[in-house]
Amino acid sequence: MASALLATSILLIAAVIINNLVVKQVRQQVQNEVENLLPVYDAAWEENARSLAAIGATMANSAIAKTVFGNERAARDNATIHELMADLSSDSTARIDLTLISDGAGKVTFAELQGQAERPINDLAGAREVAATQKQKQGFTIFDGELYQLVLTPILLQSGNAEYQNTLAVLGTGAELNRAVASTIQQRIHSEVCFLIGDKIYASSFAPDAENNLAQLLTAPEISRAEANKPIEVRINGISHLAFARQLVDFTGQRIGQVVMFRSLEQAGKLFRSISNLLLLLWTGSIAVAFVLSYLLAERITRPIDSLIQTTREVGSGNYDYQIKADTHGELGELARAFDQMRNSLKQTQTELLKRERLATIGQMAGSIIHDLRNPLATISTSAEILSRDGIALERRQILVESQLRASKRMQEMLFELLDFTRGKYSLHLARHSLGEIVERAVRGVSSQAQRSSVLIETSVAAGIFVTVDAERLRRVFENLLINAVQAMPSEKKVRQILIRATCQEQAVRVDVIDNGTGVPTEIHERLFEPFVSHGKMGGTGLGLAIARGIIEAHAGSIGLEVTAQQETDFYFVLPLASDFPPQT
Amino acid sequence: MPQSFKYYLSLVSLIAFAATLVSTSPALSLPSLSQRTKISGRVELLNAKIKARNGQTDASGVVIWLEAPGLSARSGRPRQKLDQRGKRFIPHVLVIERGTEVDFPNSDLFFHNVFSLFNGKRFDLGLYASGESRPVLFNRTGISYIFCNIHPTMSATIVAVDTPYYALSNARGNIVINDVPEGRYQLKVWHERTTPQELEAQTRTVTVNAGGVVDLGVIRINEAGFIPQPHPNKHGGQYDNERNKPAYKR
Repeated sequence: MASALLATSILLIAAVIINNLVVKQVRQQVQNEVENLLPVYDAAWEENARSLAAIGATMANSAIAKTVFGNERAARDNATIHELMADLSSDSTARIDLTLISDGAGKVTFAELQGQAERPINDLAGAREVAATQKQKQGFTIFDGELYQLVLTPILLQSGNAEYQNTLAVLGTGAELNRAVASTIQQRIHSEVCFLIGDKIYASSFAPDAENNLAQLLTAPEISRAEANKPIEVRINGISHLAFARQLVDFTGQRIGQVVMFRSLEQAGKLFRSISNLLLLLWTGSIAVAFVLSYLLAERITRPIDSLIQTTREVGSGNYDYQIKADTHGELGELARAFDQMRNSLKQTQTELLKRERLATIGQMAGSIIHDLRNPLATISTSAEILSRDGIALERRQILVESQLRASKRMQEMLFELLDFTRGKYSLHLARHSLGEIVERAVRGVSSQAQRSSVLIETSVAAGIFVTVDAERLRRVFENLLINAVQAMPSEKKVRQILIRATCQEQAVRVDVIDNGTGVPTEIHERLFEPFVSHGKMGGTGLGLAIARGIIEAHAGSIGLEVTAQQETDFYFVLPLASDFPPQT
Repeated sequence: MPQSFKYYLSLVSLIAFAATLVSTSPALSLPSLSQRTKISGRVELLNAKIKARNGQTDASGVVIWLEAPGLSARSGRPRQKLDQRGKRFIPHVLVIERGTEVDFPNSDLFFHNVFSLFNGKRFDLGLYASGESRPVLFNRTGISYIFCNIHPTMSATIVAVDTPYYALSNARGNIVINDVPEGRYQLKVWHERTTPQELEAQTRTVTVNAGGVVDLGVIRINEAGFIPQPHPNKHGGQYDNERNKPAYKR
C-alpha cells in the first residue's frame, strides 16, 4: 500500500513537472512566434511603403506632372494640381488618402487629406531632405490629427546637363493608418494591432467595444516599452495576450506614435488546456494502473515475503514445525522452498543438539554426583581399611563403625538431595540447632582432607547461636564451601588458612567462610552460584555452590561472595535466627 | 458633365432639326433663297466604336463639305469657340471656314494646355488658368487635332474647309447643307473614327439644280478599319506609361 502511494506520488510529481515543462514550452513557442511575427510585420509596412512609393514614382515621373510643376503659375494652382493628382492616381489600385506637394524648402503648398483639400497642413522637414537628395523616403506623419504613412517622392526635371536634374517639387503620397490598415496587418500577423498617438488609440483592429476597454490598459507605460523579445502579458476581454510595441517615427526620426501588437494566447491556452487534460487523464490512468500493479505485486511478492517473515519468526522462536506456504512460482517460490529445506535441516540439527546436550548434562550430573559421593565413600573405605587391621581397640572400632554409618547415611542423603536438585526443590527437616555444633561437625568432616592439603581451619562461632535449619543440609553447605576453599588453595602458598566466622545481626546471623586462596575473578561472581559453573578446581562439576544456594534460599536466606580488604575470598550466607533467639532466660 | 453634354447634343440636334424643317418647308422658304438648294442626307456608322447611352449609334461628328473649282472660304466669318469645360473640349468636332479665328476659353477651374501638332494647324497655347482664353487663327485648310498637354483624355478636332458649304451631322445622323447654289460639286466626307481610304471612297460628285432638293441618301461610313492610337504630348512623347491610352475616348 505504501509503495502504491509512493508510486502515485512519484507519478503526481512527474505530472506536475511535465505540466510545468509544457507550460514553459508553450509560452516559449508563443514567444518565438511573436518574434517571428516581426519580419512579417515589417514586410507589411514595407509593402505598404512600396505601394505608395510606386504610385509616387509613377506620378512624379509622369510628363504631365513635370509639365505642370515646370510651370510656375500652374504649379501654384491648387485646382490644377487637384485635377492632376486625380488623373494620375485614378488608375491606381492602391488606396491613397493623402497627396501633398511641398516645395524644396519643405513648405507644403498643396495637400489633400481623404479627398478634401483646404485642410491645415504643417510643413514637412522631411521634404527638404528629399528635395536635396532627390531620393524617395518613407515615414509616418500626423496631419491635422490624422496618422499617415507617407512616401515623399521628388518631381525631377532634366536640366540641360544630363548629370543634373532640377527638383521641381516634392510629391507626397500617403495612406491613413486607419482600421482597414490595422485589419490588413492583423490578418498578416494574426495578432491584433493598435495604432497609438501618445496614449490615445488612433485606430485598431479590435472591435469598437473592445477598443474602449483597451483604452485604459494602454495608458500603462510598460506596454510602450515592451519589446518583441520581452512582451508583457495583458488581459483583454478575459483573454490573455502578449503585447509589445513598435515605434512609428517621422522623417526626422522623431517618435510620433507607436504600434502595439497583441498576440492572443487563446490558441496556446487551448493547447495548454488540452495537454493538461491529457496529462490529468494519463495521471489518473497511471494511478489506477499503479493500484492494480501494486495489488498484483502484493499478490506475487509481498504476500510470499510476509509468509516467509512469519515462518522465519516461528522458526526463530523454535517452532520448527511451522510449514511455509510455498505455493508461488518464480524466485520467491524458490526462496520459500529453499527456506523450507533450511527449516527441515535446522529441525534435524536441533533434535540432534538436544540429544547431545542431554547426554552432556547427564555426564556433568554424573561427575557432580561422583564428586559429592567421593568424600563419604572415602570415609567408609578408610574406616573399613582400619577395621580390617588387627588389634584395634573396641572403642576405636566403635568410632570407625559409627563414622562409616554416618558416611553411608550422608551418601543416602546426598542422593536424595541430588534428586531434590534435579526436581528443583528441597524438602527440609527443620529443627533448632546450635550453629557452633553444625560448624564443628562440618569441619570434622573435611578435617582429613584439610590436613592433607596442610590447610588450617579456624572457627570463630560464638556458642549459643541457634538457627532453625535442616542441620544435615546446612552442614553440607559448610562442607561444600570448605572443600571449595581447600581445593582453591594454591600449593605454593605457605600460610593456608580458612576462617569460619559467625556474626549476629538483627534477626539474622551472617556466616563468613574466608580463605586466603587464589580468589575468584569478579566477572564470574554473579554466575558462580549457577549450576556447572566452577573456577579454580580441577574436575569440578560446578554443582556444589548451586546446591549451596538452593539450600540457603530454601531456608529463606541469602548467599554471596565478597572480597575482603585483605584480598581474601569471603563466601558468606545469611540465615534468619531461630525465632526464640536469643533464648529467653 | 456627360449629362450636360447629352443635353447640349440634344439641343444642337433640336436646332438642326428645326433648321431643317424651316429650310425644307416651301411655305417658309424665303423667295430670295428659293433659288438655292438644300442638300440633305443621313449618316450611318457601321461597326461603330462608340454607342450612345440609349443603345443607338451616335452618328454625330461627321463632316461633309462641297468643293468646287473657284470656291473658297468667305472672309470675315464670326469667331468660333472651342470651350474647355469639365476636362472636355466642347464641341468635340468643330467645322470652320479657313481664316476663322477660334477662341479656346478655359472654363474649368484649373489650368489647361491646348496644343495641336497635326496637319491643319500647329500651335501650342501653353498652360493658362481658369477664365483665360487664347485665340488661334486657322488660316489653312485641314484637320487639326486638338489636345490638352496635361489632360490626356481631352481631344477635339477642328476641320477647316475652304468652302462656305459644309455641315456636321447630329446624333441621329441627319446632315444638311443649306443654300447651295446650282452647280457641280465634289462632296467630301470626314469622320474621325475611320480610315483615310474609307473617307476617300466617300468622295463623290453632287450636281445641284436650282430650286431642287438633293438627297444624298444614306452615307454609310465603316469604322471597322479604325484603330485608336494614343496621341503623343506636345513634345512628341508619351504622356506617361500609365496613361498610354487612346485619345479618342469620350
